[in-house]
Amino acid sequence: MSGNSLKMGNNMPRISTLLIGLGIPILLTVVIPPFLNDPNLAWRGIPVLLLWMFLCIPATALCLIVCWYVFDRPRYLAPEGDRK
Amino acid sequence: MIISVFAGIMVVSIAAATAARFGIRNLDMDHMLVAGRSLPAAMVFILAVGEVYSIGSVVAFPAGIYAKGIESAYWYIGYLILAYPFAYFTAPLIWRAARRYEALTVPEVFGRHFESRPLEILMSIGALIAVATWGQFQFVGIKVALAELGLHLSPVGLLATAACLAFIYVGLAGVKGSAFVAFIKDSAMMLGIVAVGVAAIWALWGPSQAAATVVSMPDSHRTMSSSALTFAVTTILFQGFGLYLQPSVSPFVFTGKSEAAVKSATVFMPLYLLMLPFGAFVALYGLTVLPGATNSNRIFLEIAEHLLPAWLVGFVIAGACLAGILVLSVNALTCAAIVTRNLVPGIPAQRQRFWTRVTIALFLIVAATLTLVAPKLMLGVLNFSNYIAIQFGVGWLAIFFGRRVSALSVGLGLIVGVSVAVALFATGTTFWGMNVGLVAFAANLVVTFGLGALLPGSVPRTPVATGSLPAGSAP
Repeated sequence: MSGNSLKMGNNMPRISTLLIGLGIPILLTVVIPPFLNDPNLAWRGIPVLLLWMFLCIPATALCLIVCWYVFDRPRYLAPEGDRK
Repeated sequence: MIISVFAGIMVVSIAAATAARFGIRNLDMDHMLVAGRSLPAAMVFILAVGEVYSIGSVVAFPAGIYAKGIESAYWYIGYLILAYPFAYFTAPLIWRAARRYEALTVPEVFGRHFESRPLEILMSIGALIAVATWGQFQFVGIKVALAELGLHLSPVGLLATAACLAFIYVGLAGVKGSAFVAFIKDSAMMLGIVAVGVAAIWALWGPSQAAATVVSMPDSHRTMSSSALTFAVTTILFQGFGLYLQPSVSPFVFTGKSEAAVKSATVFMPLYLLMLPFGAFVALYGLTVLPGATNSNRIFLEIAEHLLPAWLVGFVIAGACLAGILVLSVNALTCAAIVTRNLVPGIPAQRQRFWTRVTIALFLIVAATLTLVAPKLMLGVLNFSNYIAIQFGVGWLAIFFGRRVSALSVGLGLIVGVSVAVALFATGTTFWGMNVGLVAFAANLVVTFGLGALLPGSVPRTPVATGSLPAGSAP
């Protein structure tokens, strides 16, 4: 294992993964819900906020899947010398 | 019928723990505590998710919706969802830190990174309080679930059985045994929750209903007050961030075979939460069809009995019990490791395994006795332990990113954080309805990083996030 190739920062999260992997989930679960907190927003008696939270589950998984398969996995798989 | 299904699943779980022992020639401490850092992503996934899918998902979540409505559902689903995006970024750093210092326990990472034996002891005591009370708390849940079986066993008999099973799960093959049992537990629980959920949805909206049923909920259940909303939002952020940094959860990350395995394991974890909507529909069915139940904690099992054949109910109860026993066993193992490796110095490596098993047995006996003798006291301690657990998060941040943080500032930060949390909780002080743990966390952060920068003795260190990667990071 050559020393330099494994030096710092090669697997620090990039701004794109932080935005997709953390920014969007926070937007979905923390920023939007207060706007749905309304007793009149209901579908068959179920508060829309509850249904929204159900939707957030696959949406968050999708964000992480994109982060991993598009951005991070290729970097981990790259030969050690090629990691940027 | 319920009892035979239940007993069958218990037997399968013991067989699974035994199977985990195959292929390990010599069960040394490495294998016992971190499975030789050899687990693939799928097993890390099962282990780490198991802690989250405790009895709470079956009992507390539907009970919360039934009793409080959207307020309870929002923060519970929200914090679990956010825990995984945070873990996607923090779990690989936890693994990297443990690997860099060849650590088998959380206090070891702190002691070695900050080169301080007193800090290692302080972290050991903090972790013991947090992990031991959480483990002990499982006994309460196991008691509730087992009571559903209608067996007229004495409480002593019930708890002794649970303790023996917990010992078998980790005593035979260490943490790998837990991973194998977790697979059985998750299958049983998933089958149970989905079955009850589908039955509830069918009963509400199935073809036998002439018109589309409208779920009836009291108005107070439909919306949150602004202070409840503030509390929920701050709790979601705080607990989501801190879940993996708690001393009861981070050791699971150590077991991964590579940094990539740990990171990729978090990717699919949110999908596991798809079990929660089924639990929620059960609660909605309860609110519509069986309103006014006196004990909301029983609502899930009551509806299960109402809608399903008895043998399926056996799966639900077995899953819930296994979840409790499993968390208990892993926590016993974590505590025993901290005692034999970090608190009592000078136990030779070859004797550590023996003393770890003795400590696990002692832990289980003490915890079972406390459940029988002082259940209320333990609930108070549980509150306290939650405050300690997430305060570990600041220490982890210092390891990940801190360049000028000293052992003294990390230790003082932890003490200040816990004291502020306890003081605020005891006096009932709130800041605009925010989660008090978050306020305490901020105080801890200021002390840890502020003092670290000011104290002259702070030695610059290489933070884990920017340091060189240890060998074996790639898959």
